[in-house]
Amino acid sequence: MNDFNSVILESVTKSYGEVKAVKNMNLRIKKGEFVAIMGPSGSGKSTLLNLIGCLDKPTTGKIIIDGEDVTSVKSRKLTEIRRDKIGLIFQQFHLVPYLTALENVMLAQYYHSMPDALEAKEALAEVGLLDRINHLPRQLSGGEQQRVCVARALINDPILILADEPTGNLDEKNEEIVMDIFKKLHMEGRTLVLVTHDVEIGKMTQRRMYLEHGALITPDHFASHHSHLIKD
Amino acid sequence: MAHNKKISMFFHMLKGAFFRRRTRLVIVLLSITIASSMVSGMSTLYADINSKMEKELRTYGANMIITKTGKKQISLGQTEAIKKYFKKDKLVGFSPYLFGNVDLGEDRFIAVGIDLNNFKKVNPYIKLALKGGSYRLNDKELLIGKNVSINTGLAPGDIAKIKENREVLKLKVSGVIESGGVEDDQVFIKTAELQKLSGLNSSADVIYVSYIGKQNTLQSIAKKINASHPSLEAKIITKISKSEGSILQKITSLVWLVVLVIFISTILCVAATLMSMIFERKKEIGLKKSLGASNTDILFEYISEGSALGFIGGILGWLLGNVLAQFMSESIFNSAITIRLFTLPLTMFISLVIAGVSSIFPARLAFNIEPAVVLKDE
Repeated sequence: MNDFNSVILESVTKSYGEVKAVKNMNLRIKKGEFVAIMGPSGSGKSTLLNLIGCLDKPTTGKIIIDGEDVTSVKSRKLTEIRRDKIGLIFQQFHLVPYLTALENVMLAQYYHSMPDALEAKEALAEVGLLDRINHLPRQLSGGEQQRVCVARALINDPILILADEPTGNLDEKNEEIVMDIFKKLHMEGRTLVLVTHDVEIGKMTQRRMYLEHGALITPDHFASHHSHLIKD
Repeated sequence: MAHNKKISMFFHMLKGAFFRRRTRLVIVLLSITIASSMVSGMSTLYADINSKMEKELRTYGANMIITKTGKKQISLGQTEAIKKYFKKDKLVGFSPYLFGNVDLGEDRFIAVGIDLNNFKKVNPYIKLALKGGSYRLNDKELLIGKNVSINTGLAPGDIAKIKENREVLKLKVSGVIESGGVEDDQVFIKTAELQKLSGLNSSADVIYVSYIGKQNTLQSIAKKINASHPSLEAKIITKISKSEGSILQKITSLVWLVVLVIFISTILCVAATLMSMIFERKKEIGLKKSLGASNTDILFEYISEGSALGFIGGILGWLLGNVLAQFMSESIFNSAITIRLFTLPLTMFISLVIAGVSSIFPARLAFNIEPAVVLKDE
């Protein structure tokens, strides 16, 4: 059964002192699925993404990524899993300011295996940035920086792509470009999990999960409580 | 080939990290350079300080005295033989004194037969007491002590009649000297004149020696002289040689104390700067960890940055330290220093230690950076 799932969460809770950011959560994300995790600020979306992305460990419960139980592994092993299986995309892009677009992509290769400029160029070409490879982040627009971030996330061919509010800092045009890239990746059979509070972005995904106070809620419940987030 | 790509990427990141934080890195580099220049400068000086200070401290005067044990005076042959126990390049002064009693005016004074050149070398602190005279001793001349001048009323240029037994010598006072010691009550004439006056043909009653060497070296020479010349007794003037040793010890301790203080304050300064750099770079470190960098990878990067700074700082510090040592040596000892190559690895080692020790707390800070926390989007 695990072979069909990229991510399995079983009774996962993440606490910070008294506060439970994620409460007793159970979820499954199938391979090749394009999922949106939605919810208002403070609902636990990012914490959930960090748990799935092996950036954090649950307080209780079990997390299985690509058939491997990552709950109780040591942090070194967790780093390896993150490096080999997961591609991360951030709202703030987090590009290294003194490296060019090409080098930022090669940085992910550097920690994974071996930097390869040719492959990195191809990845940047995939996101339409072949003419910007030698530009530093400050010479790129927000949309371009996010596309570099996407290329960096894809360069090591991860089984799971996690994006935390990837369009949060982009204008409409760049939002469309980035979402088109995600759709294309989905069409290629990649598993994507996207955190957003934007319902329109959520609608572009295959499946939406709604979070409130660290727990999954039904779409109807979400709609009745967060109508201000729903534009139509 | 593939490995080269990784190395090239690593150096590219290193270069980027350096140029991105020029101001802070200049502070770190300067701190390491200053500390290592102190180590280099002080160790270069330290290597020379003993010999330079020993030479300098010879202005205290003689540090060994050789006397006769019996009534028999020291012969010329013995004087020549004793001189051979001292290395020529370390022998500052070797002055035989022949004593006699002479009448000068109404009073009787001790006359000392000397060779003035040698006398000056073992008594470098003796100066002329009155203007108008010369500190010289030619034939038919005498030097008188300050108190002798006061008691007899003799002044430079006066003719003094000195009598011993039935011999009378008329000598011109060339100068009045002052030491603050027994010399102020004595008269000084050439050894040959005193021999003539007193009818003696011996060379000396006592020999004063000023020799560059530690107390144990002097002791060893004295032992040899005493063993081979039973009629003589060689003794080191402990108040001189001990205080020399004590001064050297104090200077050495002070030098190392200064180096230690600079060493510790540099580590604190470098550590504080590196800590602030880690705070500044926490997102970058978090990002690298999120991309799969292990703590070892991060540590290696910081050690490399620290080592590069330590290496550059060490080289610059060594060069600067030699300039500093040269300046100090010329202003304190009036002589140039010898560049000691052994101080290069020592300085490099110290600057790498500074960089390494200073990196411990920042490295711990980098270790504890949680990507999930630092990459949290606001």
